[in-house]
Amino acid sequence: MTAVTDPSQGGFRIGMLLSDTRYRGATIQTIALIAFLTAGYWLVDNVISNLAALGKDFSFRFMTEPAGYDINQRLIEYTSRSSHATAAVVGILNTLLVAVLGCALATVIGVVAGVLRLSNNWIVAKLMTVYVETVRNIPVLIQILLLAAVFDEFLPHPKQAGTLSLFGLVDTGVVATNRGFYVPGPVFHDGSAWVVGALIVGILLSIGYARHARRVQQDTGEILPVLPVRLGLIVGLPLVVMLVLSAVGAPPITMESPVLKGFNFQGGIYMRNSLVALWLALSIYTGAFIAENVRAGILSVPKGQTEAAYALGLRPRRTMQLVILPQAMRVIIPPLISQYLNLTKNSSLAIAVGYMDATGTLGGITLNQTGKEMETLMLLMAFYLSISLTISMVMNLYNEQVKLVERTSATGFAPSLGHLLNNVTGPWRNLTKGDAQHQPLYGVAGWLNLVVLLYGAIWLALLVYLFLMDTPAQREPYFLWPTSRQIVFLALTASTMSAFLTIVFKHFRAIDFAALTLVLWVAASLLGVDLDGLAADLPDGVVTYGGFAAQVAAIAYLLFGKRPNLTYLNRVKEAG
Amino acid sequence: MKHSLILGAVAAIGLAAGAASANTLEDVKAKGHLQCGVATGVPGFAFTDADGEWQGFDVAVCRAVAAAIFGDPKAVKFTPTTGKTRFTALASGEVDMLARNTTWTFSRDTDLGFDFVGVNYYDGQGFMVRKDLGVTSAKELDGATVCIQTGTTTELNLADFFRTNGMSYEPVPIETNAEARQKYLAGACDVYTTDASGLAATRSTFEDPKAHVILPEIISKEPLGPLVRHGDNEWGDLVRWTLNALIIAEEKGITAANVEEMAKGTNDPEVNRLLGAEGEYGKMIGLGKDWAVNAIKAGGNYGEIFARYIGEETPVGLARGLNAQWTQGGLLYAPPFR
Ligand SMILES: N[C@@H](CCC(=O)N[C@@H](CS)C(=O)NCC(=O)O)C(=O)O
Repeated sequence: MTAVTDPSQGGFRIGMLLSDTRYRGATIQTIALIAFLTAGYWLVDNVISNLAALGKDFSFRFMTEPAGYDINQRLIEYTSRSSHATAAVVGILNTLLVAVLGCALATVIGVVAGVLRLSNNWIVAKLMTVYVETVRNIPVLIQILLLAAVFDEFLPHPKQAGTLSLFGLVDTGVVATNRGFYVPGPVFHDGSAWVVGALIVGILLSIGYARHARRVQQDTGEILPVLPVRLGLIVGLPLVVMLVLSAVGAPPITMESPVLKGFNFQGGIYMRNSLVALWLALSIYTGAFIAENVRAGILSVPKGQTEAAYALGLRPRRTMQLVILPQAMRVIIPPLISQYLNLTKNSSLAIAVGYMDATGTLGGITLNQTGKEMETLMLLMAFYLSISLTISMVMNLYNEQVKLVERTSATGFAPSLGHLLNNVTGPWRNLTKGDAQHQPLYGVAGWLNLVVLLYGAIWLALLVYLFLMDTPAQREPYFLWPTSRQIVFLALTASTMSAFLTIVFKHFRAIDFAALTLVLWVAASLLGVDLDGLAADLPDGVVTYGGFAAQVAAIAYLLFGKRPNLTYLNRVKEAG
Repeated sequence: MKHSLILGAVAAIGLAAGAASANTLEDVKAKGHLQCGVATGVPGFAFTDADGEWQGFDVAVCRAVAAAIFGDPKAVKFTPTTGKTRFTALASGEVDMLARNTTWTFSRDTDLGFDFVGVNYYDGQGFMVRKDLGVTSAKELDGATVCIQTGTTTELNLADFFRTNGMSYEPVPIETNAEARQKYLAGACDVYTTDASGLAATRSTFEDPKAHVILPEIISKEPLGPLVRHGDNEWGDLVRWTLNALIIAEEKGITAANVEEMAKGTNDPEVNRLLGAEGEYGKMIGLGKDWAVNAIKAGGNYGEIFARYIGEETPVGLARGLNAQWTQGGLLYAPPFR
């Protein structure tokens, strides 16, 4: 032992790489790394040589060529003359649509079922047990196909279909056919802008009122009625504007009911059976898993907590709201992340019922018609990967906010611009959840601020710029750019998104992402990315230089903001 | 030492895995059977009979090739492929050839890396609707819901047809013919569109075929034929000339019944060359003297195969039309066998 640990005796020999505990770890890691790189190299080399053997080249040029096929559900403008890239975006948006709808409905189902499973009512509790145990144990593909088959076979042909009514009394205006569901939809006329404006004002006022109510409660303990007032502001205000406008002239918003024209119904909102079947099946399936997470979360809060709350005089609803749920959330959130991820990935089964998601367009028809298996599948994997990473980033940031912060919790030892500049900006103290200063701005209300809006806007503009590719008159399509420009632009998009999300969740890292975004902004501009194209209507230079200035201002504010920097980063300047 | 060993091993695996075999005939002979990609199920063209045996107009091409190689039309295994999986199956070497109503197009022949060896059915894309819709022309289909198989030329033609005629439609993408049949019959789509032969074949399985009409418009050229991977020309030649042998056999009046007899020698030197009574033609494609005899014996000549599976006497009920011999005013015209 001593011989091994004493380096001065006999100097360094090759054998020591393995026999000496000081070097062994490094040696093994180096070997592992070499093996990994070799395997990786071999895989890539194998692919390249096999592609060459098949006479195929590796290139993404085909993405800019006309797709040639039609897609039934398109959330953006698309015809069969649009490019494969646009077809991919149509598919991506369809994936996102069903994922968002699915996650929302699955959460509702899961929470209801999870709570009811703990109900004191024996029948309700058992029914929920049956739901969870049955649905969880049947493959989701079969459930999707089953629902689709039911819609196909049992719903009437458009020629025979009429509107559904509730108990034969109220006409809902909804038409269910074996092609899909038609729901009456709003039609916006002149003056509808006023109604939309009233809605926005209502939302802003309701946020203001909520802040006010919370402050009053903090200061005086008096509990103001929040829900009715907020509802009144958000729903009531636009309603009043609408009624006034209708009384004066034509109603600014009317409902359009679907009517049978030719082969199909026209008008209103059309939800294809493929979408509804996929959506319901994914939600019901994932809901069963979420129900179990919710149940576990609620059970994880000791009964003593409820009893203590009651002893303090809290009523049951408030006990649930203020004591049980916040603690249960800490247990529920992490597994909920993986359920959302599962749902999103399971949505790739869409093609089984003919729903044109990203797998159906990019990984389906485009792959098949162009024969570019490698390229399309790589793009598809990149898409699912970035969606999954984004979801898990959002959920982790949220989790970071709600998790218990203990005295010993280390917050950010990793190097950060914020820490580096501590000498300049003065030391900061991170707020923990219990701090009174933290309270007024906790929650959705705290999200609305200029910096959030800035990064949100840039991110949105970058996404639109990246994906809106059928504008060759305005610029070269992304897939024809030089590689360096492509990479920097992608990195810029990712970094802007990270800055946006970390700021929304008031994470300390926001400063670093903001700085990175600024650097990439400059790099992209130097590499010839037409940043002014982000908002082509504005005069030249406004976006490039204005964006730069706004980002510098945002970073400066994040670092040097005078007042307690609550809005952004959950931290206050330490006194003295 | 160790490192070079590992590297050497990795390199060896790489070579082994990377080497895609270029001699399909050798591989097929070594396997002892032909692996043939066919449709998942199109009545008349590729279907399994009551005994679970694959039968059909396209399947017969596979059987003829197997018979030419092994002298046994049963020495073939079938891989059912959808419009979407067929090309991957062929490109990856999962199947040795495809005989599956596949349209010969430029990009499939070049960019996708395949070789079409000929045409066994000249077709075009058509539309089928219920009679009671009262539609008499494809130009009246504005706003209709249309079932199409994805990954086909059909969906591209369809998009062009509706666009150039200024009409809109609602595509319902599906994977297999069976699924399309179910959707169409359930009324989930107003129209089913695919190759006209496929429409006739599908309609023949309906309970009441008369309640459905195939509209007069044929909107595309769909020359359907067998194909192989690009790059193995010997294998391509073999499949091409097996198909040609069946066509020449019809032209020359060689049938399954009389082929043995004619192989003994006739007055027609072309027949003698084809059937091995004269010359060493089998050897030129790596096969025995009696390869064509075996291929023809397997299911008869082109005309016999056509009549048995999809001809006017069958439920599918297709007329020869374009698929008659050139001597009968059709397009079937095999190059001379010499
Ligand atoms: N000829 C077209 C379409 C061929 C096609 O897929 N036809 C359908 C309908 S007849 C079919 O063969 N389906 C077979 C199956 O579903 O397995 C092409 O090559 O793209």
